[in-house]
Amino acid sequence: MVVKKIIVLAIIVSFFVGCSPDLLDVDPKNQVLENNYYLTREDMEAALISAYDPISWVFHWGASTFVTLNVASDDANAGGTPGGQDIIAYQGADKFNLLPGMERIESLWRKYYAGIYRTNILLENADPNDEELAVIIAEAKFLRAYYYFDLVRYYGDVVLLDHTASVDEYRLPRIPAEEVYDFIVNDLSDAIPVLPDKNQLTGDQLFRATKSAAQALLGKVYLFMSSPGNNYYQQAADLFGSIIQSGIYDLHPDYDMNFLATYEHGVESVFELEYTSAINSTFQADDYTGYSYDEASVDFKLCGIREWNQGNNTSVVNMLAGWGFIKPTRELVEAYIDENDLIRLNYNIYLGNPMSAEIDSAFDFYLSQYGTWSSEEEDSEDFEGFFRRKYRYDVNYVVGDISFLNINIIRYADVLLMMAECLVNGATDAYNGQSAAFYVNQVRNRVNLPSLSSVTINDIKKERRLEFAFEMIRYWDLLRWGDADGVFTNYKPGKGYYWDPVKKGLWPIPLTEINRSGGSLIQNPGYINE
Amino acid sequence: MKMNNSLKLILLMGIIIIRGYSTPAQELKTSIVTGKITSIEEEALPGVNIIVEGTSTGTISDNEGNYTIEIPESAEFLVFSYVGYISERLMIENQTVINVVLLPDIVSLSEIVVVGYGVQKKSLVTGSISKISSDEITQTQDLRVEQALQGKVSGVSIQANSGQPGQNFNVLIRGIGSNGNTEPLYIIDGLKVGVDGMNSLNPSDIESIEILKDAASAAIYGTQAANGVILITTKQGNKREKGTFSYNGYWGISDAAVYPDLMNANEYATYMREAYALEEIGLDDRNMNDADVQTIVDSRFPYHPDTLGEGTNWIREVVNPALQQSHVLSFSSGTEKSTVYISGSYFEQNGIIGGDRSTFERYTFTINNFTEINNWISVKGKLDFSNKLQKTIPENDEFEGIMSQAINMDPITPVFFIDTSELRPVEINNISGLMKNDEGRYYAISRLVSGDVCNPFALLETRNNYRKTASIRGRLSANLEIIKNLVYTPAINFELFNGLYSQWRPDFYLNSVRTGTRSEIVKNMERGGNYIWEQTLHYNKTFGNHSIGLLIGNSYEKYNWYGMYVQNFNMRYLTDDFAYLASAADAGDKPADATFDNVLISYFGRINYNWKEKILFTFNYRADGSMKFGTDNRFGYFPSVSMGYVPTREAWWSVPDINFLKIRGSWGRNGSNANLGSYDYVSIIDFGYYAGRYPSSDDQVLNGAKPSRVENTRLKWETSEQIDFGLDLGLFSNKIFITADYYIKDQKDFLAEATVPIYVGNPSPIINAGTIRNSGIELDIKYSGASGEFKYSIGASATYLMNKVLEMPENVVPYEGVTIGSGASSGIVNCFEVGEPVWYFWGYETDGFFDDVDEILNYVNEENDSLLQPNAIPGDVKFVDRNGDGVIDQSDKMKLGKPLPTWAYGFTINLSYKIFDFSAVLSAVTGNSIYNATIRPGQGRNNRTMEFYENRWIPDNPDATWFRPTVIDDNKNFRESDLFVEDGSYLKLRNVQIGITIPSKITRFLRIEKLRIYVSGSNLLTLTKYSGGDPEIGRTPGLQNASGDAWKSISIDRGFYSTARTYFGGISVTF
Repeated sequence: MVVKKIIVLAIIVSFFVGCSPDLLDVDPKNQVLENNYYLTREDMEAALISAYDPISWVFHWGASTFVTLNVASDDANAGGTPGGQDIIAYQGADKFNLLPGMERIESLWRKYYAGIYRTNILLENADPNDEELAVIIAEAKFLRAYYYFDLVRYYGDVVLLDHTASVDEYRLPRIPAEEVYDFIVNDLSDAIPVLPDKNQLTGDQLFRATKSAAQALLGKVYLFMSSPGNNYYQQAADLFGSIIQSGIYDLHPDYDMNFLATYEHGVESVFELEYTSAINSTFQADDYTGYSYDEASVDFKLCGIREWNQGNNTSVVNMLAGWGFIKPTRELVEAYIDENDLIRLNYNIYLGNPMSAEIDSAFDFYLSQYGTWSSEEEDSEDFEGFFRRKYRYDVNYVVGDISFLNINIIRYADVLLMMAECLVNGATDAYNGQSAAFYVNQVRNRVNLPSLSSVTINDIKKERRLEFAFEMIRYWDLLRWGDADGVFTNYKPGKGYYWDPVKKGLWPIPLTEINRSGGSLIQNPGYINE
Repeated sequence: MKMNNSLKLILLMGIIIIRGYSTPAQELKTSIVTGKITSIEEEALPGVNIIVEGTSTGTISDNEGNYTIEIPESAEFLVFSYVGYISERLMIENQTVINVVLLPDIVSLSEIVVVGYGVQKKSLVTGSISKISSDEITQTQDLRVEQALQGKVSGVSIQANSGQPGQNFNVLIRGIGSNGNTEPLYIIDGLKVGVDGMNSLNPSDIESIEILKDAASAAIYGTQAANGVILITTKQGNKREKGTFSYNGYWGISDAAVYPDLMNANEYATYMREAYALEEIGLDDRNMNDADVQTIVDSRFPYHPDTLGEGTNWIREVVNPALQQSHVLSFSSGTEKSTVYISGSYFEQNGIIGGDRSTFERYTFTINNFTEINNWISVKGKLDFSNKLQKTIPENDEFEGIMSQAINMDPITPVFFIDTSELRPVEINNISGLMKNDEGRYYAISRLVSGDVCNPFALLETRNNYRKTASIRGRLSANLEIIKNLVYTPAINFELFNGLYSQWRPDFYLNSVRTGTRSEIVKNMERGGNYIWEQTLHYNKTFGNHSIGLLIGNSYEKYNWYGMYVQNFNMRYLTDDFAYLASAADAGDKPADATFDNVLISYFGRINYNWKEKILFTFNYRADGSMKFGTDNRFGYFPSVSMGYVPTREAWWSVPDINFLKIRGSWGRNGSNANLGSYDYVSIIDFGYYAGRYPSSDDQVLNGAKPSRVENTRLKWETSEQIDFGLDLGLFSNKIFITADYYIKDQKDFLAEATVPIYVGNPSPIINAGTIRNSGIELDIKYSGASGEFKYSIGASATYLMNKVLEMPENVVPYEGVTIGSGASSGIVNCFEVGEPVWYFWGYETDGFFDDVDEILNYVNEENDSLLQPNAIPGDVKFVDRNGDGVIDQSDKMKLGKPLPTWAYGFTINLSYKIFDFSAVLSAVTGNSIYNATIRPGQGRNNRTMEFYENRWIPDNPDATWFRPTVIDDNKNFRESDLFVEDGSYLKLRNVQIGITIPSKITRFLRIEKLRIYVSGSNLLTLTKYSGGDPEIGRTPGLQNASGDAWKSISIDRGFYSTARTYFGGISVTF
């Protein structure tokens, strides 16, 4: 008995001793720790893909760049259910009555800072002297510049981070827009000499930022930085001239080729957002964050015609029913008719119902011949008789509820017209020695419009509007030209538009962010924190 | 008379040990005392423990209640103790025959209380522990143990999260100390289980429940005890018990206890037409021609109230009577050396909403066994098996909830279309997506409301969710008495679980915006287990007037989880029979799986000391190491100390009628890491979906990589520090027993997912987010007695709770509140802030309604004469510019109420007379508020509760208490304001039961020992001022919070799945 007990006692002692803290050293399975990552080129490549990702984010709720910028312009109204309550971040963007506390308005802000974080963590971990990483670093800088450029245009002064924020940096102030622009110029200037030309990339790599994309973006940045006393037109013109001289780019023979999946990354494409059919997924809104599958875009469904029904009549129009956002304005239609620009009119817009003899005769496409749509569309004050055709909810580009057609960000036509704009503003074409009219006429001639012998800034403004309808360009063009007050004051009286010059066309800083930053962020003028 | 079996067992074990080793060390002069022990009913009491005070000499009474004991000459007192009876301490004074009548101890002073890793006499307990016995548990017909505790214990708040069958309860011991997981630690017979373990437990297997409320009582559980501990002891067989079978079964039928009163079609149309008219007139009220207005109204809302009648009452349509049933069969028996208890049960509950899509079914099987191997080794084994099937529908969710749809759907739309001629072209084109019932009738689509609001029945058809869970839990332990009084107890505990979650939906067309093109099926599987090895060494010894108890122990716990997810599209047939992956044509997201481990090692010890049971002292210490923290912060140390003094044991005590008084105090520290994932202390790299993907130009998807969240290497333990002062008071021979406690509990460094600025650009880190203080007073009074055959027992409890946030880190906002609704009127309705209760309601102050245009035009910013509410029209809400800065913005918002009650009360009544028995349980709360978000802001023509109609402002009723009929809400009448924060006080009659025990004279012929038949009802009565229906509002799991368990949604009603009112009939038989 005693022996047995001694044995038991010995066992007990061994158990007590044996239970050591080493047992806590359990490594995570199937998990990679940050300390063990960012070591190889493959790691950095994956980090770069992560940094590309937000560029194409779309949001069911809140804040798609595609929707907000198009509806804010005078080319389109928001649409949706009338009454200002259907995705208010869109209807509010249209009517300029965004409120800082509106539901999910922060998702736009979130998208850009997610991108900035992902470029920053890459850049922090990449050895700048590692030649293998040089292009990856340059692409990351291009992306960081891209994100900040959108941010500064939406919000004005923003929080500027060139590194991942530490715990001590949750109370940062906004940095003046001028400094943000300088930062963008630096990033792009670093990237341009390193990035490859488009013709150096293999077919599967065309989604990447190229030297020309960075040059075009920087040129555009310079246009936005230019003001009467302080112009960068020559710097911009040199960049555009270099792209033109490279000979890599040209206009597509037909305007509509820019919006067909067949010609993605075609000769006119300088930079575009990549979407794919390879995600065999259905659209799934995450109600709380507003993210959705973004490898293909739900914006097309959002902006499809509500209750569109074409029966079996699929030979001419083949669209799916959507949720009714982005409705063309009559002003845009009239602008095409005034210019007798019927090719681009008929490519960009469907006639929903007859409006007037003049408009009827301009259209060769009456949508009502091919299907029906919701009476809500008709009742909506946003419905002015037209539907959008460019980037329509086309059944050929849809998998599940989401569309995989790429979206253009910078086309060669944009480069040409920006070049022309520099030239009329006093810059010289050092590379090619051409005139502004030369470039504008290339764009006009493609759509069978007559050449102009000389162009003014107003010709260029008009040309940009007609060429880039629904391509997210018009609203910010109006702002940088200083034309927004003129266009939007007394815009569509009686329809509830609240243009306030004090706001300068900027978006409100999301109330969520003001609260989270403990008040270190000050709201843009003209907005009430509610 | 029923016995507290497991406790008896423990006593017996003690006695066996005493017997085995109490050989007299020297010859002493001894004498013999004999006697008989009976109850007041003159029944013999076998098994009574008789001890010579101050020695280890003792015996137990035999089957006839007789005893014989040899006592040393020096002995002065004999102590007679028996579970369930008041112990007697009698002076020997040279008597040789001492007969004793033991009084039933309803308040159980000498009761044995289960404490962490051991038991203790209640009179010696120095912490704050509440005990519930099996009688009180089986008093109500409850699916879950937690439910049985409602209204019975002070300091413990138990709230149904919803009326959906099988849903978890919110159990709070002494307030909310964190925003995350605040579940107490659940231990069943020494075996730690999670919430699922509670859901798997059959309440009638329970012998007793002990709730450890203060830090000192819980401290022995260290890191897991910050939110209190609930110890559950299940039934054991009795020694020398002949085999006993019992059966207990009941059947019940439920409907909704309370639900909101909504406008009918006529009222709805009246309201909407008035709204359109008022909005059309706007500020132009003096110039509009009535006829013109009516023409416009007709065009906007072409339904005339007179023609509509009642319309569809959606709530009544979706609420259906539901059945439930429960059957429990148990067997217990014992020999000299071993006992066994076996039970099996079946429980089924159907939901009152959602028909067969909201149900719960459970099978359980339990076996408890105890065997003495020899005079120093005994073993104990237990095995529980449970199998559950739960079908659920979305709830308390304004987008997906069935109740929310029923509240917001217009009453004009019928449930079904008459025929397909009512369909629009696009609907015919999508006819396969239109939902229909079993008879093939199409559910109607509203022509008045759209967006998220749709026909609740059609929505139901798209929700086909079930969860099957099987779990096995077991514990094997042994007691080895190494040397006298030194007991070594090793134990192995394990828990294995396996869950299958299945959901499928057809392609659907619910309205023009709620559509889904491809049918989808998703299966999740999870499996895992928890393995705990623990060992303790106990040493108990009494030296003269000093009693000492020592405990040391350690444990190793390893938890493992594995889960797998697969999704496919395009099911072949849209029925449950084909809800399998193989019958779906296309692959969806890439299948994925994941696993994690969690290891905890612990060392603990305790010292108990008492001097003559008069001065009591306990010291606990525990060190825990958890792999959830970085290498430097892995260990947390949790000491506690408690003391008590029992003046009634003093010789000088002479206050008549106060026969027991104990004053106690404790201080201690506990921890928690429940709100921390296994690898939250390091930065993990995400790949693919969560890290972002980007397509290559040839349509391949490239996977990105990034850290899953912002890293925080400074994480440390969440600790709860608590002091407690209490007293236990027995009056009038313990007929009245009072327990009172005052405590202050500070939860420091509670772990939370920080809300960092969005510009940080990555999901927030977990941080130590500050301190929450809960303090309060708890009072329990029990009055019991008998007068002849009439026995009564009345219990009352009262809880006062003060909850507030003491501090938060300077540069991080730990939380932001809940945003309600969509549209411009949506806003944050609650707030988490230093100096205030957690999640207090926060909104605008209102000052009535604008009666006319002049009032609007005169409500201006005094500096620049601009209108404070430029979008208002008459009848709109007037919001107060509280800070007087000339704009109405969020800086004008104020505190409007708090979600937790200030006072909670519980009452229980038990009466019995001869063969009849009666019991009732009531509970009540006051001081809490509810945010009524059942009516969704920003949905235009959705239906409203009657409050909106009956009290509405119209020009003819300017003294209204509710704003004008509103469709287009330019003034944001629906924004978060005091109009939507309502008093959440209520009184609920939780349960009433009436039973008859058929006299054994009659049943004996049937070989039935006891037969009882009863009827009962639960939730029979709810008294409340709340307008939205049931005031018992839980929280929305997972709402806007990655950690999935936030309290931020507490007391916000978004269309709650009402708790059921149920009528039961049942029978219990013992053979």
